[in-house]
Amino acid sequence: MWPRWIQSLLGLWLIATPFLFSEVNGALPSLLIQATAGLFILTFTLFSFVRDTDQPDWPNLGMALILAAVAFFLQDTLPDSSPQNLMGTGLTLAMFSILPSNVVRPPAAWQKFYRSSADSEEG
Amino acid sequence: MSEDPIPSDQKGAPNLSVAPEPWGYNPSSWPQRLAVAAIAVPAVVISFYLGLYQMRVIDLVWDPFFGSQSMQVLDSEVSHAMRRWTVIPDALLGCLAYLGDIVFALAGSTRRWQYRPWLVVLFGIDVIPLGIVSAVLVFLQGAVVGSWCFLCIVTAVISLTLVYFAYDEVFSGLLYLREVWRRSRSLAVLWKAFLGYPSEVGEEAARAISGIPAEDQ
Repeated sequence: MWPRWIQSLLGLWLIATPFLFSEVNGALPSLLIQATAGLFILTFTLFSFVRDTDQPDWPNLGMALILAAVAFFLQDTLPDSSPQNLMGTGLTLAMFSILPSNVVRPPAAWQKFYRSSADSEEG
Repeated sequence: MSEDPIPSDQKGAPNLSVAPEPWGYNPSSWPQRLAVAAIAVPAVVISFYLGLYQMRVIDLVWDPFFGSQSMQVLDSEVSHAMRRWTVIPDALLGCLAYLGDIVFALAGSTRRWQYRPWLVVLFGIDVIPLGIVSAVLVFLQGAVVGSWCFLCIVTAVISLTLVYFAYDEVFSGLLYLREVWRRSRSLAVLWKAFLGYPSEVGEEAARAISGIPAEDQ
């Protein structure tokens, strides 16, 4: 589950950075983009705790790509630190969200495969 | 009534310390992967430090041998040209790549070459081609930019060291996929094996390349 905890921190980071980088005044689009993305990440990370644990966190992987695309296409529009923050956070989020929640144990499907093989051998 | 030699909660449990060919050890073992993660940590720190200079959070870069040449490298036209495409400074991009080395080294079980080949391939792409390309770029900087950067050279050496520590696991993962393909000749089966879905063919392929007897997993 450790990738999901780090994703939560990335979501909180996105919400907090407009305030940390003093972009709140005069940079409403940047504030809205980061707050919306941060809330999205937190929400879907929360869902990923109860979903299939052997799958990547697809919604947040999608959000990671969106963040990178926004950073690339709006780099001349948004305040200087904002595209860099979106790109950095997007790439980091992609790195963690592509991992399944069950990240250390063998996949459940393989464990089930071995259990059914063992059962059929016993039977 | 004889006592069951295997406790019920361990029946059919996978053997996680398998040594696939051609190695006499498990390339996905924790010591192997923790070594990769530990070696990548200084590279993350160094590239983050260089990135801070490129973002002008700090004014100078420490270099015991080449002095201000480091800053000329970090402020070079090549670096600025790359930034237009990557948005973030190239040193920070390198920092993320080294962070990826750590994250992908720490993910997966000690038999991930079979259970999650996609993860091993992703780890391999992050470490091997990207590592070699970044090392070549750093060593070419003297010819292209005409200046040298000591800390960049340190990260290049770390990249090549990481390649040495990671290649065996990637090789095993690819060997497993090749064996699945050889036995099935089916792209669908190969794709499922790549994604880590279980199958008889996949299990047979893993047994074949690791010499596990059929009655054992």
